[in-house]
Amino acid sequence: MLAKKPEIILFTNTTNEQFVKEICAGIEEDGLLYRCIEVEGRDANGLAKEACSEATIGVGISVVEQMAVLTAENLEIHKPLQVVKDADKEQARVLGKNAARYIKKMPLVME
Amino acid sequence: MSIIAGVDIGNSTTEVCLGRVEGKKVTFLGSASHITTGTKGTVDNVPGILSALEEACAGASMKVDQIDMVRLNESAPVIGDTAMETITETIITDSSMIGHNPSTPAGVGNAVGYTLHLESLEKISNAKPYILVANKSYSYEKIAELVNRAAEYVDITGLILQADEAVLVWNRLDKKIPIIDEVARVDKIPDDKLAAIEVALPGQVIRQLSNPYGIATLLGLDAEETRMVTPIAKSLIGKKSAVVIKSLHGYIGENVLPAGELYLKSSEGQKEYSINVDAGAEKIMDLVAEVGKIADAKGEKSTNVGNMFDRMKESMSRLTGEAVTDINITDVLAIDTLAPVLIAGALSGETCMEKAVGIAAMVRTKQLPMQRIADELSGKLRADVKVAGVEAAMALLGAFTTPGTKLPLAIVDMGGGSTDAAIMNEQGELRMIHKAGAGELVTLLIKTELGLRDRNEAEMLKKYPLAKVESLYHMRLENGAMQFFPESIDPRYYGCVVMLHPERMIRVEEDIPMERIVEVRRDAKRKVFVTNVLRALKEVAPQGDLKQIPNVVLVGGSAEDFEVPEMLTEALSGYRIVCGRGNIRETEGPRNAVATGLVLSSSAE
Repeated sequence: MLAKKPEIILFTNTTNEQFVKEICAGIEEDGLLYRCIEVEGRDANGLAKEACSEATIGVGISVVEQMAVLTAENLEIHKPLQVVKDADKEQARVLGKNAARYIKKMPLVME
Repeated sequence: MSIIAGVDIGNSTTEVCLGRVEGKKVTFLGSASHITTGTKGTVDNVPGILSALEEACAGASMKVDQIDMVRLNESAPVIGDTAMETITETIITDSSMIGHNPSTPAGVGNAVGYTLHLESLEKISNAKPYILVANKSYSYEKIAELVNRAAEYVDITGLILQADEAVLVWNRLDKKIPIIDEVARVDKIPDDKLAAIEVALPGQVIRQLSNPYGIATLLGLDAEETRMVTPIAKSLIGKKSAVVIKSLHGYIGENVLPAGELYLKSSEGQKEYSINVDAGAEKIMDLVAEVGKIADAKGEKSTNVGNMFDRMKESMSRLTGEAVTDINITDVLAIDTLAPVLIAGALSGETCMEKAVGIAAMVRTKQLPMQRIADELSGKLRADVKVAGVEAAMALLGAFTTPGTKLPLAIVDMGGGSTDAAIMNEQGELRMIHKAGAGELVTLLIKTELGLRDRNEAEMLKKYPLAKVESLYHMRLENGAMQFFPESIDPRYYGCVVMLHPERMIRVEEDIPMERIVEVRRDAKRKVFVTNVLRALKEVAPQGDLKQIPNVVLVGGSAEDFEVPEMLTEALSGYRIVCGRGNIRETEGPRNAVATGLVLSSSAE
């Protein structure tokens, strides 16, 4: 079996590529790896949990249309770390940044 | 039989004790405390007194008009205040340096080149090396593209970015160079000036630009110029990244501010002593000890200390109606500290630790106008209102209800503005003293040393222990213990240092390590309270000998602190003194001593 890299997994089902790109930029700036996988589902909370179990690093993100959910293992499905809807560029960047900061055990950026 | 209410108006809280007195027998019915309304000793205190009385009566299931007599304390006519005097100041005469800790710089090492903003890229020539500067209107992709293209024909040695995108740009560069990001004021960087940048290795701090000879090497400085950049090197120590721009004018200056003279007048012989505040706390306190009993103190006009003394005298004069010239400063406490002060002219909010002296002072008059409060209060109540008893005597009487005490008994009342000590011997003789400096000064020291903007936050940091939230399910307390949560907590607390308020967690907004806050907090408390309690007890002790005091009961607001009483117990154990937090009436803890004393003293009349 192939060893999995310590990546943050994004499950995406959206036409808004810019949104996904900004989240990824947020992760990259904070020095972590990520992988995007296109999926079918529409339940953002559920997909985020699934992304989380796919990732070996304990953090997953889902993007369904204009909504992104960031969650971590041990967290209940209805209590994710952060949810953004109809986000502008900056909020999307911050969500990605927070995914990385959670892994680095740093305080999350919240408005 | 009569119902008596003892009322103690303090600087910050008004306390009430309710008791039934039958001959010599006193039965306590209840107590309450309320925030003091207005300045202590003014009629503005009345609403606070009434609320406290109502609360106490409600607790004892009775009505306020059942009270037969209200006894007010004869408040010590003492108010305290604090000020901070910064002694040194770093000023950039010509914006020439950036030093900060961006969370994610990129590339490692140092580089030298001429500054050039991306807007002026067409002016670039291949004759010299460049450090490019990009504001946040450029995306990371655009910056990488421009730099990659320019690097084909000129030497680009480094990059300065306004946005937090150093890693994103670095990942897209063909030729890797050091990049500093999150520089807020890139617009202040001049074009075409020789500059050096440095990014530290991960987990390390910069080494070249925090060393005067390092700067000299990179920018080609002569001996005189090197001497002038020394303050820059000093203020860059400990940073993760930095920029130094060579300019023709002076770089940066370290000014020694005129902190002003402090004049002390001895009450014996009216001799006047003076000392400059920048001599530091130790020298000032040596002088205070030498002067002995201080008749009055003055500060040089329009310095922080001078202004504070004037302010205190004026507010005391307003309060009592006495002339300002009749009001005297009778004690001064000085404490050395360091304050992070914003460097004037810096480009991204850099601070430098400057020397400062925290000063507490205390004014005293003949008497506070308590009778006016009594008159106002008796108009609103059925009960007789009487000003009764000296505060220290009442506090002693109240403190004596603490189990395990005997005469001679000393009390130390640690309030907001002053630390007061009193001692009563077996014959009932009383000696007392008030010393400047208490809880307020601790708050000021914490605020200054941690560079907090909000006084309220410093006040909370003083009061509550800390913890670091390590996951959404657990936190590590400052004593090293772990605490787990049954449910995941709000992600806002994740990774943060929090204060453990009894009901909730409060986030510390500044990015300061928990260990540092604990160190500053404990240090401030020790400097103020241990110093002052020893100073005060020595003055009231028989023959000035601390060993003659068998027991000390700590009362007042700061005695409720979670670590101050233990610090004092430790410090005084060397003198074989039994010292601890009071437990008034075996139920009240260190609070309510004076109010309790007032009720008890009525049985003797």
